[in-house]
Amino acid sequence: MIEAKNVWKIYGKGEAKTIALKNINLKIEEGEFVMIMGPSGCGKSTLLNILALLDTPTKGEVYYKGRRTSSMSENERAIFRRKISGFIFQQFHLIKTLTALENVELPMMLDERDKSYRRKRAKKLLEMVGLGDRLNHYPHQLSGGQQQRVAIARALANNPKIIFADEPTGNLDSKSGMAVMSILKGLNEKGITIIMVTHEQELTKYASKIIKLRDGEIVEIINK
Amino acid sequence: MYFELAKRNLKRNLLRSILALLGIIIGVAAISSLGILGGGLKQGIMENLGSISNYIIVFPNYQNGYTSFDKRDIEKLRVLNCKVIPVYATSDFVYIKGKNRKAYANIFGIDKNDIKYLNLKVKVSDTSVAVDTFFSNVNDVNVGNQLEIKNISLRICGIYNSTFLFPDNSLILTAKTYRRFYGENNYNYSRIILYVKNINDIDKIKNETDKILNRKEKKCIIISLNSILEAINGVITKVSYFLMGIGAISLLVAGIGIGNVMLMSVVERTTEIGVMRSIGASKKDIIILFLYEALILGVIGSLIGAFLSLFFGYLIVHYLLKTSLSYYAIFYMIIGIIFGILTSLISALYPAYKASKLDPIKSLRNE
Repeated sequence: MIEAKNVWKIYGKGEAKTIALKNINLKIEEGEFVMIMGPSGCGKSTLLNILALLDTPTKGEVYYKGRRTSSMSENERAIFRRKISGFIFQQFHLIKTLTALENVELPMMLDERDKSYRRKRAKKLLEMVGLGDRLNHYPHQLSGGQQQRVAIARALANNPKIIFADEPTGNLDSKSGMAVMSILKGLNEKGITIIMVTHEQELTKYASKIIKLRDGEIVEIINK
Repeated sequence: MYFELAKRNLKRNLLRSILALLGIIIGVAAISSLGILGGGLKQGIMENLGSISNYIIVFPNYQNGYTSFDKRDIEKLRVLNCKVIPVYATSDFVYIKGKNRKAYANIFGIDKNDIKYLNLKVKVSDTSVAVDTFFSNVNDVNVGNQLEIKNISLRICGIYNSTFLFPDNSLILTAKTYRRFYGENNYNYSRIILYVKNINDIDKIKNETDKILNRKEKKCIIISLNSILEAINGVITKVSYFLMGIGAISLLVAGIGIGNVMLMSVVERTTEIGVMRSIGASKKDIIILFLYEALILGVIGSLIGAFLSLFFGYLIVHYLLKTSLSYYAIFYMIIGIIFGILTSLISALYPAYKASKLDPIKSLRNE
């Protein structure tokens, strides 16, 4: 489904040059729950951003279903992020001026769905993540765990095939973290591919594949 | 939802949005008010002079030694498709009865049946005289007062507005009364007025008059008042646009204000833009979002500004120019609204473009 071939990411030039990723080669199949692990600063988030087409590699190629993503136009990349993938952030990144319901509607609005469909689906998704009673609350009126669940609902808005999650439990207490992980596990069981960055060892039980990074290189790939 | 997002983003910094809005309001009000002022001037002139556009005045060419027209000249012009009105003219002292003083005036003699074609709204008989507003005001006389010319008493039967047809400080007598005072056999006319019913025939009749009277040598000078009116209108139109240009400067300042507000907004919302890009917003979506914000400011500001200009325009036109507002006010309001909205959108183009160019990854790290 997603394949990285000889991917490098280099920031800066000359003495200021930093190699974030070195010669990454990996293949992720449909329906997998992949965890990218490693210490801080090892390039986990950079790799996730490249796989999610938020960033481009300095060298090498990323393929989605056999198609070179470097040949995609800016618009095609936006469509990929909107329709094919969903992204969950560590800091939740909800739009402050929108309610929970409107935040979930946003990707559908970008996809030019009509209002009644958007409303119905957003309600359904928020109910699914246990926030049916918080539809009209603004982000500042929600707890961290609730905000992250809104972010998950938003990521699911356009029926994505893949969910990219960048340390989704990093800013949550253990109870909220477990609630988020069980939602992600449930989604994976429904056939959605999950690619998640974490450095929490205890979360590996949810994964079907673990990719370990150190200093920008893959040191180990564990298939469960 | 673009609209909803834009609306909320503007509410987020309400004071800043209101200040940007104020700039647009002032700019549009300035443009439209000054346009309405120009339109009012034009209308005022048309109200005062519009009635003269159907006339051609033929003067003797003094430079070539011609001082008057005779009966033959008049007869030659009768073939034209217009009303030929020969006019006697002189200057003389007039005694104002009851005031016990003399006044100097331009005295015109016109055939009793021709006066009605001059749109003066007065009816003169052989025992009466019509005076213009200037003479009436300066000499403090009114309808019913008596004037004496050559020791013969004449009653003032009406007061007419001064126009290009007759200079200020003038009196009109019937041709018969005029000849009684200034020579029974005087058929030397000092000018000829041609009344053309169809304004489109003015140039044609002007040319034909030239052919008839100036065939051998330039015996007369022919002036169509229509061309004078057009020239005045042209000048006022230019003045209107110049005034609107001055108003546009304040709109330009407002545009800079909106650009500044939008640029600050881009900086403040860098993370939000990154989030939107990461959930699938294209560069175009980001541009549209920012342009919507500018559009909201532009539309609201322009509408308020335009209606304010209607209020100011009414005050200017009604109290200053002593005329009434007409359809042209709507025209200048629409021009103001269009300029206001365009200024807002153009001002937001660079900030919108800048926002769309933000790197989503860097934007997300901004917090």
